[in-house]
Parts: sequence; C-alpha cells; structure tokens
Amino acid sequence: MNSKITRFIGGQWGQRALILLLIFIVMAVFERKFFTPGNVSSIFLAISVYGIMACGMLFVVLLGGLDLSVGSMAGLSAVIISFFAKNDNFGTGGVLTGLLAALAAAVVVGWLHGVLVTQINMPSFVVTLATKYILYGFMPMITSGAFIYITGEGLMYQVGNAKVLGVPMPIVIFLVVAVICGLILSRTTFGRRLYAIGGNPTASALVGIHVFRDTKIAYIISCVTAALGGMVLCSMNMIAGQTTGNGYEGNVLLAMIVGGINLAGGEGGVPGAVFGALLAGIITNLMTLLGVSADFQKFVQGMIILAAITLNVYTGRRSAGLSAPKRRRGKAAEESAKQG
Amino acid sequence: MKFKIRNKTVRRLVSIGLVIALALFFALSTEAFLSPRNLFLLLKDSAYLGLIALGVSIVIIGGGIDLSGGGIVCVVGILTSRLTFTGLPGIVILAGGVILGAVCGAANGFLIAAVHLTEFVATLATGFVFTGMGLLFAYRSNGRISGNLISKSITNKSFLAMGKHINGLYYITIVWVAMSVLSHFVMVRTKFGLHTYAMGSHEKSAEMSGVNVARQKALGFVISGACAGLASVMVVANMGASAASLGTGYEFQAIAACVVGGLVLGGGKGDTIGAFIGSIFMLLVLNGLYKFNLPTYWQYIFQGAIIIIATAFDAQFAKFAQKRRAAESAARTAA
Repeated sequence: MNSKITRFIGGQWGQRALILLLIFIVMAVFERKFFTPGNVSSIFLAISVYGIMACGMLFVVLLGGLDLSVGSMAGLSAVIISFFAKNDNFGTGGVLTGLLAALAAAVVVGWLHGVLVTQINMPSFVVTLATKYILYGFMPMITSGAFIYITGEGLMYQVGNAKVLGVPMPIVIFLVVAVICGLILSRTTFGRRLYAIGGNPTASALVGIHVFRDTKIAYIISCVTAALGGMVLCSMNMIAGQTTGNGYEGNVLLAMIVGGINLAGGEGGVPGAVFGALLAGIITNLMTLLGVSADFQKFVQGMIILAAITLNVYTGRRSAGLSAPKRRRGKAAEESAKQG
Repeated sequence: MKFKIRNKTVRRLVSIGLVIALALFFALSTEAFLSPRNLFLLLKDSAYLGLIALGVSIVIIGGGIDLSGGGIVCVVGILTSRLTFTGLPGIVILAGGVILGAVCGAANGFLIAAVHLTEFVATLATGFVFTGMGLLFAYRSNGRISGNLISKSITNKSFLAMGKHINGLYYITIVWVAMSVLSHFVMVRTKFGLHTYAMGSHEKSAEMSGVNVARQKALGFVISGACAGLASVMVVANMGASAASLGTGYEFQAIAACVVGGLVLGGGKGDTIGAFIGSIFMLLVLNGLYKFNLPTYWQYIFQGAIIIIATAFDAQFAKFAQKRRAAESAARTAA
C-alpha cells in the first residue's frame, strides 16, 4: 500500500497533481479572484480552444513530427466560416456551408503536409512553418483586410455561447473531441499503428504498416481539429480577422510539452495533452490576473517550456524532444547506461 | 578528357542562377529596380538578414538549429539603444551589443551542450525569453511595466555614424561581406570549421574521432548569438531608434535564407556563402513585391512557397546527386 502511494507521488500523475496543487496554493495566497465562478469558466473556455487543437496535433507529435501551422489553420477556418456565414446573414445554411468549406480546406492542407513529409521527405517542421506563412497570407484575401463581426443569435453565436445543461458549448465540443481522439488512439488499430510508427518507422514499415498513408491521415486530423478550434474561437470572440488564431501554435506546443508528450514520438496520450492544455490555460489566466502585460507573457511561456523540458531530462523518465535519446550523451548517457 | 562538375558546384550554380534570373526579371520589368539607390538599399536589407543567417548557418552546418535569432536581435537592440544615452562612444556600444548577443548565444549553448536539451525546443523557448526580456527593457510612455511601448530617438552621434553610408554603400553591407568572407575562411580552412562539418555529417563518428562535440556545439551558438547581436546594433544605428517589434520573424527568415542557399537541415551540407546568396534572394523577392505594388500579404505566401520549393528541391537533389555519384564510380570501375 505504502509503495503504491510513493509510486503515485513519484509518477507522472502525482507530479501533475503536485503542480496543480502548488498553483492553487499560490493563487489562494495572492489572488482570491482566481477562484470566482466567472474566472473558472473563463479558464475553461480558453482551455477548450487549446485543448481541441492539442488533441489533433497530438496525432502528428506521436509520429515524431510537429505541426506549426495550427494557429494559421484555425485563423483561416474562422475567416472562411464567418465569410460564408456573413453572406447568408448568419443563417444556419451559411454557417454549415462555411464549416464544410473550412473542413475541406483543412483536409487539403493536411494532405499536402502529409505528401510533402512522406513522399518528398521534407522535415515536418519546415513544411508546417512554410504553410503557416502561406495560410496567414491567404487570410486577408478572404476578409479583404477587414474584420468580420458576428451578429445575431444563429448557429454561429450558439457554437461559442450556448449552454448544454449549464455547461458552455465550447467545453462540450472540447470534451467530445478529446473523447473521440482518445478512443481513436487507444481503441483502434489505426491509433496503435501511430504509436508503432512513432516508436520506429522503419520497423513499422517492415511489419506491413502503410507508414505513408497513416502519416497523411495524422496530418489531416491535426488540420481538421485546428479548423474546429478556429470555429469555436471566432464564435466565442464574435469576431474573425487577420489576428484570429495568430500564435496559437505556441500555446498548443506549450500544452504538449508541459503535458509530458514526448516530442520524439511514440509516447503520450490524450490525457497528457488535456492536462497540458489545462495547465497552459491556467498559466495564461494567472498572468492576466496578476497584471503581467500581454507582451511579457511570452517570456514566462519560454521559461516554463525550458523548465518543463529540463525537468524531463533530469527525471530521466522521458526524453526532452525531437531526437533527444540519440543526442543525450556525455555524463547523462553514462548515468542512464549505468541505471539501465 | 571529360568535363567534370561537382555536385556542390551544381547546387551553387542553381542558387546563383535563381538570384540572377530574378534580378534580370525585375530589371527588365520595372525601371526603378536598377537605380543605384534601390540596389544599395537592397544590399543593406539583405545585410541585416544575412548577418543573422550567417550565424544560423554555422549552427545548421553543425547539425543543429537556432530559432532564437529574432529574440536576440530584440533584446540586444533595445539594450543598446538604452546604452547610447549614457554617452559612451559608438564603438564601445557596438562591442557591448556583440558581447550581449554572444552571452545570449552562450545561454543557448549551455542549455543544449550541458543540460542536453533539444535544439529546436530549447531555442524556441529562449527566443520567447529573449523577446520578453527585450520588451521588459523597452521604453514606456509612463515608465511603468504596464505602460504603452514607445520609441525614443537616439541622439548619440558616434553611434549613429555606424548606420551611415559611403557613397551609398552602407557600413552594414561592408561588415556583412567582410564577415561572410571571414567565416567562409574559418569554416573551410580551420580546425573549428572541419570539426563543425564532421559533427554535422555524423555526430557519433565525430565524437569517437575526438571532436569535442559539446564545446563545438556551444561555440556555434555563441557565434550565432554574436552575429545576431552585431546585426541588431547596426540596424538600430541605421534606424536611429529601436522598436519592440525589432527582429520579429527574423529567426524563421534566416532559416529560410539558409535553406534557399543550399544548407540542409540536419547538417554537414552547404556553406556560409550559401547563406549569403540565400539572404540576397529573400530580400530580392520582397523588393520585387514592393515594386509591383502587390499587397503585403503576398509576402507571406511567397516566402512560404519559397521555403517549400527550396527544401523539396534539396530533398530531390540529394537523390539525384547520389545517383550521379553511383554512376560515376560505376564508370570508373568499368574503365
């Protein structure tokens, strides 16, 4: 029994609980406003967008890739949906057409990522970085440089502001996406294949996994959830424009890293991504409450990423990034060799 | 005697050819392009990007990646503009900026070589940290941290002199060309360069052959930081003020310039002259966009497309080069 408790505290979830507890204690001492119902629900609203995007990006990260285009993809989808919705005066038909168009765009972009990464053999971070710029450049073509304001109380308003049994709609969408992604990863052969590919692509190909096909599907899923996140985001803010979703890939990446997902691939799951999104949302909210100016928040984000990956290296539980096991050498490698 | 041409030379000719073709196209289609003023401005802007790309290219050759260039430019630019108000001579401030950049690079090097963090994540995070530090030190309207950012004109004469030009040729361009020649010499002729190439080609074999990989990596990041610092000081001197947005996005543009110039992410291929040509190419595209009065968002689409095309080309070119080498050796065996 005793060993079970120590294992929990020393384990992954014990550490996560400890971090949350620390934050709650700090907030209880310094800023009571943190616990007001209004603030708690605003945290969850912010988390829902990060969370939806993180669940999809997880598929790519499990393969050892990265998707830096999710922020721009979310923005593009927000702009496409609001454009179609506005032409239909925010009726249901226009919103659904827009959603279909945005999802189609996401599938095309994701497929393109997959093709470039697999068949042309390009590094995923370069590909998605380039498409991040390209998608960002396409946005003003649709908005013609202006903001699109969402008016009325139609479907477009409901997505971000309605409540189901008292739970805000974005959180419901987030939970649905998280459950679906979790089931795909843990209960389907496709999900298990992704872990295999992330662990060792060559071996996976040798045992007959269609590595290229599965990789393409993973990139498509990442873009589709980013498009969904964009829809929720613009519906919550009632506005879509050039700045929508800009820089969100940083927050999603932060969620991945603090959630303990191995960026080298093959390790991690939806619970980690959800926890990471939770932590990222709480940290952003905390900084706003403490009056940290918006431009200084990046500094804190960077420090947290550094702290998280340093912690990961020194606890030795998991490696800290793209190809850390290969690169970890010198003293650390000797130590791990002794332990292993 | 058959005329032989090396794969490396083929790749170099492709990037030079691209630059010449693009320049020819602009020269023939717009009159304003060939004016000396425009060409000197083009060289000045490419020097700004080129100095950052030069440092990044050394890291890339060594098999790493540096995403903190923009952040270093931001923090160095803002701190040096604060330094100018102390009345120090310009050359001291220049040295201070370069040293500050090197210290930022050393922080990267420490995290990667001693703490064993991954280059990509570590430099992405330190980029955030450096940008945040820059914003912390930026001038504000009411002096408080929450105040609005403002820019303050620099009045230090000896500092501003560094941003001037001789008959149109800006000092930053001269510094850039000199640094490029120097770094090419260092990379090709010295032990440091040899070890960096060895580390980038195959890190494990390099380490087993006695290359001090940790020191080599850290040094690469220090040089990269110093180059970014140098670029930042020269640009602040030229603009006469520093802004909080200084350097934003330049970390990615520098990598794009390197990729266009034939450096391969993963290391061991390409050289610093490639970064030089790549920087001119990136700025040439921008220059042309302005000349044709295209909306600014085309800039993002073009730059993204260039990165994809250049990387895809290199991936295919690697296959082509391998086939060519195999065919050559087969021919040699047959003969």
